[in-house]
Amino acid sequence: MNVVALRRQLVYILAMVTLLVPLYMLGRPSVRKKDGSSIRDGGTLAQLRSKYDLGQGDLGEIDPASESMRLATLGLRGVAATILWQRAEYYKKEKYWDRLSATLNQIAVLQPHFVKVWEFQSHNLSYNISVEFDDYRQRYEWVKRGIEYLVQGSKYNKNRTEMPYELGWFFGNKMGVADEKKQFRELYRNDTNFHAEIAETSMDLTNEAGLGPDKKPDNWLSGRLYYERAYEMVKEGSRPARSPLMFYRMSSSWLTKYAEGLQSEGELGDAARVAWRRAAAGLKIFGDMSIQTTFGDEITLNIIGPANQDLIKAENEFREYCGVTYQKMLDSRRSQLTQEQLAALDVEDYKRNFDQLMLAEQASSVLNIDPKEVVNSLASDEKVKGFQLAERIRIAKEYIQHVEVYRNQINYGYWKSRCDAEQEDAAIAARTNMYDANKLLDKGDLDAALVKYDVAWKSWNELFNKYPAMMIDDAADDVESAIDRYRRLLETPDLPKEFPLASFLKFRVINKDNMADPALMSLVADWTTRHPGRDFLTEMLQKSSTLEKPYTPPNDEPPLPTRGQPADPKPADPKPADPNPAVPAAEPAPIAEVPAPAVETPAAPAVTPETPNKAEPTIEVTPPDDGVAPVPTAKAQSGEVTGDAPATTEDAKPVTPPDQGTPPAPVPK
Amino acid sequence: MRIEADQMYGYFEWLFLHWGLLHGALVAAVMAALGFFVCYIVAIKQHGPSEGFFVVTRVIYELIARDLPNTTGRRVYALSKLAFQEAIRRRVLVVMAVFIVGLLFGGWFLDSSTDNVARLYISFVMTGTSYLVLLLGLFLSCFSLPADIKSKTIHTIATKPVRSTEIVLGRILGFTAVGTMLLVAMGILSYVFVVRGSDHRHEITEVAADGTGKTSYDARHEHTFEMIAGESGELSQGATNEKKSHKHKVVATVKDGKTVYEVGEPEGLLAARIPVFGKLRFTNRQGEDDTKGLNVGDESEYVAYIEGNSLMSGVWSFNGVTQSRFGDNLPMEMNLKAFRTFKGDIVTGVQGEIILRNPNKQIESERIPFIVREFAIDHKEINRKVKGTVKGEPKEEIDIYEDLAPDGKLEVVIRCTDGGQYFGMAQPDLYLLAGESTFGWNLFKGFFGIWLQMVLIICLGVMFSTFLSGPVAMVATMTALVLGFCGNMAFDIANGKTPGGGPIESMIRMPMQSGAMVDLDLGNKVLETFIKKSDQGIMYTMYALFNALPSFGSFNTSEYVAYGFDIFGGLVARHLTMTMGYFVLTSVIAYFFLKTREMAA
Repeated sequence: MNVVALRRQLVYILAMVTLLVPLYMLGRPSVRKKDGSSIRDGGTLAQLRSKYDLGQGDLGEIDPASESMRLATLGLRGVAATILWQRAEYYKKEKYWDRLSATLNQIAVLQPHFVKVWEFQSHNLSYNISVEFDDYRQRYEWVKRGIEYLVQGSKYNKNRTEMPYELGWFFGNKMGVADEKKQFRELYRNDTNFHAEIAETSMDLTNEAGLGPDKKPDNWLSGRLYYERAYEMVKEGSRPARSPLMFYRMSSSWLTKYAEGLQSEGELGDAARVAWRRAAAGLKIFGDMSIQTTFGDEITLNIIGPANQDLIKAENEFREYCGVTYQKMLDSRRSQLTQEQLAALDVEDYKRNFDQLMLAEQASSVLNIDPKEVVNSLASDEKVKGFQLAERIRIAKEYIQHVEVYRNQINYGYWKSRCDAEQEDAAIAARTNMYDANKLLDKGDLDAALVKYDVAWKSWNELFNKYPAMMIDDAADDVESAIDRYRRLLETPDLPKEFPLASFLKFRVINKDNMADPALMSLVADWTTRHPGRDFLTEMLQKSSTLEKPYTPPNDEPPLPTRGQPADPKPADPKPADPNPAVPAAEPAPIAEVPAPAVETPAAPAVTPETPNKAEPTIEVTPPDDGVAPVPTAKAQSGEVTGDAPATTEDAKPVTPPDQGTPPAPVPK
Repeated sequence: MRIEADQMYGYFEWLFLHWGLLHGALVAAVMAALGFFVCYIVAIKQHGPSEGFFVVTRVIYELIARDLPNTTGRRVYALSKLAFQEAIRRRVLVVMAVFIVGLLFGGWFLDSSTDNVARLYISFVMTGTSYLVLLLGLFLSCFSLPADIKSKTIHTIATKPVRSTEIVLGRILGFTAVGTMLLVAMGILSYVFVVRGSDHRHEITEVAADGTGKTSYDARHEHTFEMIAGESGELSQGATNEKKSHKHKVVATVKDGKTVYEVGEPEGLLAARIPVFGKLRFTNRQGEDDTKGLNVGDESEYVAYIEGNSLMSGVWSFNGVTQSRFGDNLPMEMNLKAFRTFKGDIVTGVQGEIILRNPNKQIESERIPFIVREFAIDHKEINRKVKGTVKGEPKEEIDIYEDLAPDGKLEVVIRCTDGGQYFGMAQPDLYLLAGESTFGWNLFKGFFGIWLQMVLIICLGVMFSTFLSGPVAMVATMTALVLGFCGNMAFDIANGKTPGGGPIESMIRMPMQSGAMVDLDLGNKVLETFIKKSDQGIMYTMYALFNALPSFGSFNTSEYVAYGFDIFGGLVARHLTMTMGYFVLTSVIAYFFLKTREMAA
């Protein structure tokens, strides 16, 4: 035997065996459970894959069918997927539903980690294809198909928050908002088989937090469970599926929808109150959450009150610092105003007609001095600090503006007010009686219906006065419809003279084109916190009635003074409640300087009740709005809240006006 | 399920009234003329014009005078057996293994939660079988002869002496035998797969005193059921509701003093209905006859709609409506669509009415109300005796067969009664049910259609392989296969129905990234016109070829089996006739080419 050859072979074999060791250390595969969690870490490469989420198993479950199908396409997976998509569209057009469903499964098997596929096709199933069927039971089945499709997709994409986000949306929006919502909700509630199937693979829908008052899963609460899961995923490192505002609002939004859903089904008593309390708690949690804005700062939606206080403080400090310089500039500006403008400023704001409002606005904008202008007029040794103070004002105003922008995007003020309003006894009484009255009317029991209606109107009136936000709500539409039925029941063309909701109806008529106006919504939403004790309807209607006709001075009034001369003293008018007494006359109103939200003044002059009437314009100082609900009644606090943070009112700060002026007098009705 | 109008023709109707025979004769004549011309051109190149003509006519003479009359079955059988053994040696049984693996793992890819499991399984097995068998036929037929010719073993056979007709027939029959053997095995396995896959049982979980109850949740669904009192007054038999296109019978027996309920096998999943289709026409809002209904915005125009609460209706005209054919009651099935312009009562469903009448419109039945069931077969058993009117006078009893259809002609009128809602219908969406065949026999007919497709492919493959090399013959056969399935697309492109133009225009559009809906703009009208005309020429040529080649798509009857309709005998006969016709044509052409090569050699 050739010894040299033998020796060489032995060396080779030894080298191969030696090399196997590092190869094993590098390339040993990890062993995972079905859900992707690791049993054994594996070699270096496997650990690196796991660390940087590069491995197939780090994305989600690995499906042998998917892997084998991808191998079978011999690298033409994209081509196969394209062909399948075309076939799916063809089957959808020709209404071959079974084949479509089978094709979608094949597409999903080929592209399990392409999240958009799951999103698109599940939406296709639940929203587009379900409506092709006339029978609502068949529609429900296809809505479930879409949900099951998404549940399947979430197994393969366990780190993607899009999947639970979409699931939350489907459960809530599709089942709870569709025309067949009543039927869908009922079917879903009793679909124990579906609950069990989802529980096996995805989510325990019979979780306490997901149950309605009948202890059966409610679709809105089930959707909310998925949103909570998405939030947990973000805490563990996943990216939110949407912008922070839109992402985190969903949980509380679904709580309010749940409460609305209960009401629409006739659950108007304590169950609804508890639901609204839960919604209020959820909204508070969301409102206290820190949100990174696209402006670059971090805000919380509930911070509007402290933010206003900071602004007032900054402005007060600025005025104190600038002193005489500021007053001089103000006087100079005032001398530029016309007599008409000065006269308009003299009139109480809610008494002003349209022309006077315009004049007052113009006057305010003239008298609104940019702090930087004031600083430029200061002595040079005072300028540095002046700029710093001016900058503080600017930052504070911008911050408030950012908060208002975000609040207005989701109508936060309105929902907060609504959640509080719906917990009131008046709300329960109003809804219950109106619902009962409608039912009695349907049955033909007219006398009993009349009695219930009368109780309902009184309760609604109480509620609308306290929470004007309810007047622009969908419930107000139902109230109007009920009033129509009531009118027909009375068999008279006009309602009784002392009809409790006459003001409400007038308000609706006057503002019928403005219901979606953000300024109106912002005003009504925050009325109770800004103006406690003031009757919204009375002030609004008084202002509106003066706005209907142009201003003409009465014949016995002295003529308006010419420019530069002071106006003659006018007889005293009963003043409205004024929780916002002006600061000393030297300060112009800042209304025109920034958009209305910065100083909590509505943009539409027609709906500006709160600026007080003063001879000289002032910096508009509104009571700080801490964004917290008023303290609920003892009864409202006694109910249970299941599964969420309890409703709290302990950090509700009382609304305190600034220390100038007298406390507001009660408004005569 | 879509059933095109031409699929509903009877055999003789297709043969004589719808130009089946004429079309076949035309194709044969054109192919013969073309073949003669091509052969003559080739012969001219080799022998000159007069000698070439003599060569071609001599081949024709030899076919008619010598080869065809002297073709013996014994030699054909021998060559068939040779071809068979050759195929086995080439391990064609691997195809069977692939099929079995596909069946075993099919469950991974099939959605068992679908509404009709049987339909999905049937489509799966028949599509899989079709692909495998066609590919098998393609590869077997295209490479056999060229391999023999290349290796010169053909001379061994040709000198036996074996006639060219026998060689061609032997190859075709031999490969057909191999394919048939595999197809039979696949068919049996498919039957077992489908029957076992769709079979399931339920247990009874709840029973109320009134005989209603619920079954267990199995195969992703459950049923409710209702027991019916028998002759003895006991609630001994009942049926479940329909879920996922099937229902079960429920039988109650008493064992040891306790009532035991047993749920039977699923019924309705593996059906083979024998439909009798009528001819559909519409009436407009004024009640006058109209050619078509309304389009409610669907992309597909297969279904037309009639408006509710108006004189719009769909009228089906039937012939041969006799008691011997349909029995005492008149069984009718519908699959109508509903379209709502407003939600209305979503709980009840859109309502309509059925009216049976004599075509002379003098006698009609009362209005039979119904609620539409979409995407499901709505079965109605209309009593033989119905109330109605005769010349406007109400009558308590009218006999369907004797009064409404004494000559076998009957009209069925469908109207929608809900205002603002619409019914959608196509011709095959309403039919009379003349009984049921068995699923097994229907599946056999479906597989027979696949067998006919396989024979066609083998014939074409053998034909191409007589004058082309193996790979080229395979490409040519595959082209014929693709054209056979997609030939209509070529026609749509040629006549401008499909936007984007033909091959030349597409090749220009792609680098320009010009969308299909945008007009071609090259800045030169003459060039654009030239391109469009050239494309039209190419597409029309392709379409002409498509018309000459067998339409493979029409042979596919798997939808009938999957949707539970019996494959008409007329349709099977039509396909068989077409296959035989192409068999003869391709055999003759193959003979010519083989003979020509033999003579050249």
